[in-house]
Amino acid sequence: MVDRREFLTMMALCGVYGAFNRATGNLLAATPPLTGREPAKSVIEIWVWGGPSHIETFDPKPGAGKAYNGGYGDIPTNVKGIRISEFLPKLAQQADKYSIIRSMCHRTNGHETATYLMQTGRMPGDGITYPAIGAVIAMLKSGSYKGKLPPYIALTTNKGRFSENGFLSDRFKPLATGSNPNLPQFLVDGFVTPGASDAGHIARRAQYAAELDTFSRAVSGCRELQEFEKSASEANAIITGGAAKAFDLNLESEAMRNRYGRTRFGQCCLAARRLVEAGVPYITINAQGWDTHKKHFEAMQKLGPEFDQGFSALLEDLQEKKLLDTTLIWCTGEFGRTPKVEYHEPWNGGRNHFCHCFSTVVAGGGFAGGRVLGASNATGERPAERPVSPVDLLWSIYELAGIDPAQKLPNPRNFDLTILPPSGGKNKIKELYR
Amino acid sequence: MRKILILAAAAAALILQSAASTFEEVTVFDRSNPLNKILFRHWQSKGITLLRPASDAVFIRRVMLTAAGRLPNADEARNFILDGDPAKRSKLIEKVLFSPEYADMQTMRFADMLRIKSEFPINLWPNAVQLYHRKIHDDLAADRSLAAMFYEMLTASGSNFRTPYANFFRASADRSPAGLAKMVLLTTMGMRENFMSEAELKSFSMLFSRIRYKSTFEWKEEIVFNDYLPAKISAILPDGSRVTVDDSAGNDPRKLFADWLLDRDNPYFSRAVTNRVWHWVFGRGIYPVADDLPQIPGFWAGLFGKKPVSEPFSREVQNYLDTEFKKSNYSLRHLYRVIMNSAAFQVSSLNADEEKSANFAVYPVRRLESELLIDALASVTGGYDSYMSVIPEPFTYLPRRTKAVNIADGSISTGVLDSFGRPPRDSGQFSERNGASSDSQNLYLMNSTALYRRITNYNKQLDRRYRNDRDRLERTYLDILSRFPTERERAAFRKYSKTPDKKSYRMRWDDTVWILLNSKEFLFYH
Repeated sequence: MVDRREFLTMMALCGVYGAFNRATGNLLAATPPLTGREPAKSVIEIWVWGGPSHIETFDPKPGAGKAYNGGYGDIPTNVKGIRISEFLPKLAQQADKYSIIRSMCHRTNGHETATYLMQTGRMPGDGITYPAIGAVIAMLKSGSYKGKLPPYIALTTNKGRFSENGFLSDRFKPLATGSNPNLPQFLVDGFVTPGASDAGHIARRAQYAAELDTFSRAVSGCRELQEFEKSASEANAIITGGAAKAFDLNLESEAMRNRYGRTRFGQCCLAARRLVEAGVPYITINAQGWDTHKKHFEAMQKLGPEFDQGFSALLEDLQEKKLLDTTLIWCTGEFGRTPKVEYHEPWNGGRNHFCHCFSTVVAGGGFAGGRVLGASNATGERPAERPVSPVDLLWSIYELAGIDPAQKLPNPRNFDLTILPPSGGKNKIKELYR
Repeated sequence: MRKILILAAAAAALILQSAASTFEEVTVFDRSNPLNKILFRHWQSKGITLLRPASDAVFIRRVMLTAAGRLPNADEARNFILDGDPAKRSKLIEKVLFSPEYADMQTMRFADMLRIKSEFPINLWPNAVQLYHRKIHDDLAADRSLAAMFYEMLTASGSNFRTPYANFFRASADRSPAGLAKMVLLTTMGMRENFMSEAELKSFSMLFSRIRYKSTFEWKEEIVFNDYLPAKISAILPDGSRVTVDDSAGNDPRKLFADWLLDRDNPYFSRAVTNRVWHWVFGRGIYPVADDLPQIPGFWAGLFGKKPVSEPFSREVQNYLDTEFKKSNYSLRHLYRVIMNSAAFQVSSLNADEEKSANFAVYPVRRLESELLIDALASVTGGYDSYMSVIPEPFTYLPRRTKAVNIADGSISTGVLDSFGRPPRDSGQFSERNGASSDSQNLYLMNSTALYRRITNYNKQLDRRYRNDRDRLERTYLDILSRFPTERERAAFRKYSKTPDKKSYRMRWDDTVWILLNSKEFLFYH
């Protein structure tokens, strides 16, 4: 009897890559879930890029004084005993849907290194570029995913090369949509045709194209050309078929669009919900502008409400559409920000990078809501209890997505590597499992 | 009824003929060319006859793309097609081989082979990339002997920022002696280590066991030097001869290898280069895999017969090219000259079959390399991509209108370049470059704002310049496909322009350009 892990290893060693992809999909569908419940179908990652301050989000410190809290306080939530920052009143009303980890920590204060660590569970420098969690999930779910859109989509830009497909095939690189979902038309390059599409015109053009195709009438016996024709007709099916409708936010009601907030971030959250409905396995929203070294509190006046409205609407909307149980959401920065405010020049009330203690939020897809894991000390500078490492967090996300993180990662370069260090499961955040 | 059928068949034949006649000539090849003599003898022995040369329009496109990495412009294409000089093909080859773009294109190929990139896993660092790349460009522009270039690379010591070819031994993901030995085998001999036993590889690796790297006070400067340890080296060369080196001053085991490899009687270096160039020209080597060549009987001591030995499609062609390469003092330009003047390069690409393909009796149709395709789109429409890198800091911005072919650093790329299969330059193997078609490529070509914008801009320029549809269609065809439109294509355009649908009329030029840019004839070598 060959068990699943052995089988995966075997497949990886055989290098039967295409066959493997199809086999994995069936395999995952057939295996009993790792955690005793149905695995999450889609994952939404809200990447608060640059590093949000935990004190102005999910770990307020009203008692620490202005030197730490800048004069901003906390508010109660709809869960008794949980209080979050006054910047997030709408999220306070959804606290029963998410859980907060207040003791995230690691040891690197550089954006790229920390991003890589939070995305892969590995420190750079061992000579191998690991794939980000999105690429791994996209690959291992690509067997069961039948949609025409790519399995890993980034709204709207990529995080750079430390959070891409690593040594995996290019097929699992995130599709960065570009454009801006808050524009009248969310122009996802390649997928959405600029302007209104016109079926009659497209058909006439196709007929004209056939008449101009003198070369095809003359040439014969070439396999490369047949492969090209095949992918051209697939692309055509994506363009003219319904797949790209997932990006068409104008199909939502005005009220729905306003509920998420008419901001880039808010409309990214709405687009993410539409992509979940289309079955896309992994979606990442890369929120921008959070690297607030200078004038942090001024920046928060804009960032806070946008984030609050978009994220809270997403939670509520997924719940109403009965998608929250099958959609896992995790929301974090690569690190937090220095709890002690830098009031002096040149920062003028800024906060710098801080990896020693920050907050992460998880929701849906097997995570419980209304809980808090760990705690920071009085000033928010160190975890006071239950420190959580990036590997502990990633391990649980993989597990709830139905993927054993100790399994081998099949790859074109035949590296013999596991998704996470096999010893990493000891401190997974099972306290937050539903 | 029968009459109608006959007429229809005749009409069909005429149409078929006219389609082919755009791409083929009815003339015959020059059989006095020595390489052609060998090729035709070979083809005859395989029962392959009745070969037609590609048309002039196809020929100028092939020569320019292969040797200079770009499309001919409209004037170049028109003048060449209309030129009545019987020697115009070989004259064009000379002109292109001495154009500045020749060195650009070949430098890109060398940079793939030598893995020139700043970052992981090669980590040359930007300043070293620039220095190394420029030196190669200078040497190739001057058509320096490749034997001299490689001798310098194989024996260079010095700073990565000051001695360009000292970067040769830095550009390896694995810097252990065995890793360097494998890198040298692949790069200079087009071979893999799998012909050697472990003991043999270990012994061969000793030749690279004195290479050391040290950093300096300048950030990311690295000195490559020849150490005096291990003190006594006994190593085996690939042909089985054993050499020993002691630690007397000036003894550099790398020199023993370079002297062996670049000796006039050594067949490995010339065979590696001729196969590489053949691969660059045709997408495949004289041997099926141009960088996984077998041992040569009489020149190898390793594990004979452990691996099925591949064969060149024609041993005579291989020998002829090796001889020409050496006779010309290892001139890359001369190799291109010989190959591009041959019937294998000038034969038509239509009517392929397995036998013809295996014997290069039909020109292989394949997609343009990523960089060439992006540059072709840019040169036709005038819309260039911009290239930059945020890693390492400070950011690198390449000058505006930089051609993709001229990006020195394999670490600087765009999503579009990657999606069309630009190699990562990690291993230097040919297989890193991916010529396969994919949905994302077609989505970019068929439906991207970048391309729509370029098409509109292109047509705005022609709007101002052309009043006459007939001339304008001709110009569009020359720009994109390097040929004149056929009568049938002109008729199709007129018909499309007469459509009662207003949108189709208004967009007739945009649609025409869109169709041509999405055509196989534009996207493929043919």
